[in-house]
Amino acid sequence: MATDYKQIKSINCTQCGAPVSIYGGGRRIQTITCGYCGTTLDAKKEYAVLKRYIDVQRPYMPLKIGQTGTIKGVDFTIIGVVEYTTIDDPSSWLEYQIYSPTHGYAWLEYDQGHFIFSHKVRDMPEGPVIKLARSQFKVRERTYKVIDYYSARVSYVEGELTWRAEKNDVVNLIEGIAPPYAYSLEKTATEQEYSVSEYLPFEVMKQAFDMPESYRKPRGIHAAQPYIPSGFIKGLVVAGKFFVPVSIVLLLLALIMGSGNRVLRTALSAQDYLQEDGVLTQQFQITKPERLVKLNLSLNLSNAWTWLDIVVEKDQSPVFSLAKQISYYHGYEGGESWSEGSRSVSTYFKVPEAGEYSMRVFAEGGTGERGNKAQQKTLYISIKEGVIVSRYFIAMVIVSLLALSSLAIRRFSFESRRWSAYSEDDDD
Amino acid sequence: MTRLVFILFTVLTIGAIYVTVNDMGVMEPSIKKSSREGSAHGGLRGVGRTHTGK
Repeated sequence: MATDYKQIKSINCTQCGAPVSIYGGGRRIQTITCGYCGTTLDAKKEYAVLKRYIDVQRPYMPLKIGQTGTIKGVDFTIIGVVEYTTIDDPSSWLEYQIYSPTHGYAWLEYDQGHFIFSHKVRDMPEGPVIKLARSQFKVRERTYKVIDYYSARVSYVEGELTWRAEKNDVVNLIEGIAPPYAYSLEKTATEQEYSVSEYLPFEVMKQAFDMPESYRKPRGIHAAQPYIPSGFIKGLVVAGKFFVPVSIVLLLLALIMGSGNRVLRTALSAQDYLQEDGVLTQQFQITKPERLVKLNLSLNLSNAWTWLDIVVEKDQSPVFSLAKQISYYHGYEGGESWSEGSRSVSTYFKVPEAGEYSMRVFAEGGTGERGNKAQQKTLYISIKEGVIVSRYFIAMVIVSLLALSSLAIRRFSFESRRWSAYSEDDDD
Repeated sequence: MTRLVFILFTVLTIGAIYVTVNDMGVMEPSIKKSSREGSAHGGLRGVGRTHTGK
């Protein structure tokens, strides 16, 4: 919740005379930089001019110096800001110096629309920190992974700061992450500092500084940004936990109850089924006409095709006709084996009533790319009745498993994008 | 949102049971053919090899 800070006073810039607000940044304030002329004044020596910059461009700032807000239950006032620009590429970010009379100094980083709260610490890493992506180091029981190491320079300064920040000062950084936390090692020409950061979701900043919704514009994934699953993903996981076992049970029931009873298993010679009038199979008994009949046809073809016309007959009258092609091609080209088609096909049909049935099979075929002489192979026929197909339950199992694993998939995708963003930077 | 996803999966499961019990979308359509008069699928038969190699 925003609060009024009572210690505000003002001085006139000793360079340009413009009013410069003092937000009571405590006794450790070293410099004040005029927002009008960019002159840095020495807070310890009657605001004497330390450095003067001409034509300084003020960067876009979502928060203004003097704004107050409550972060983690502590009232802070923004007393200064430093903009850094990386040396290798032109990306910039802001670091607001914030102050609380009760809790001292901290930083609020604004980077590509993301906000990160950080403060200096004295906790040093246990062991060396290697400049290698994903290498790990430990600080106070928390393990961080190195995500980035780079050099940046100060490109803008304004307001009160606890150190003498000058434009073009260079800082070398190594950053490790344990989202939503990050740990930074900052090395300047004169000192080395350590800081711990925590990613602040926009909702927290919105409440803390009464920020309008239009300020919600994070770009990309921040190094310290934690993955927060959406309500939809959470719903998918909950649904997946319930529906994976349900769909597996349904699938097992379909497989057990719908495996069917074999009513015919026969083999037809090529001479028989390739003759003009085809060949009639033995009779088979269908006792459950309301259930599916499964027909399986197998031919051990090699680089050939066979077209099968099948007529199901009852009392020598056709009741059902179907046509199926079996083709199988294979070879070795370009250093790789390939195959195409299948040596067997299956199909489902129903007959109108229980009784004795038989099948008449006609065929023709060819070999190679243009051959029109059928390959002489034995045709194996298998017929089952009382079959229940399980394909829809298999689909349900797959969909439910995808729902159950959606959180892991999304998290993996999020992490991939996080790390690839920084890997690309390193490649540049 | 969880409730909505649950409803969606319930509908999918009931739908899967319904189409399975009613053997929907699995049966071969019968083609009219009573004697040896060539393939009822006409020009579709005997497509042969379609693999073009690497």
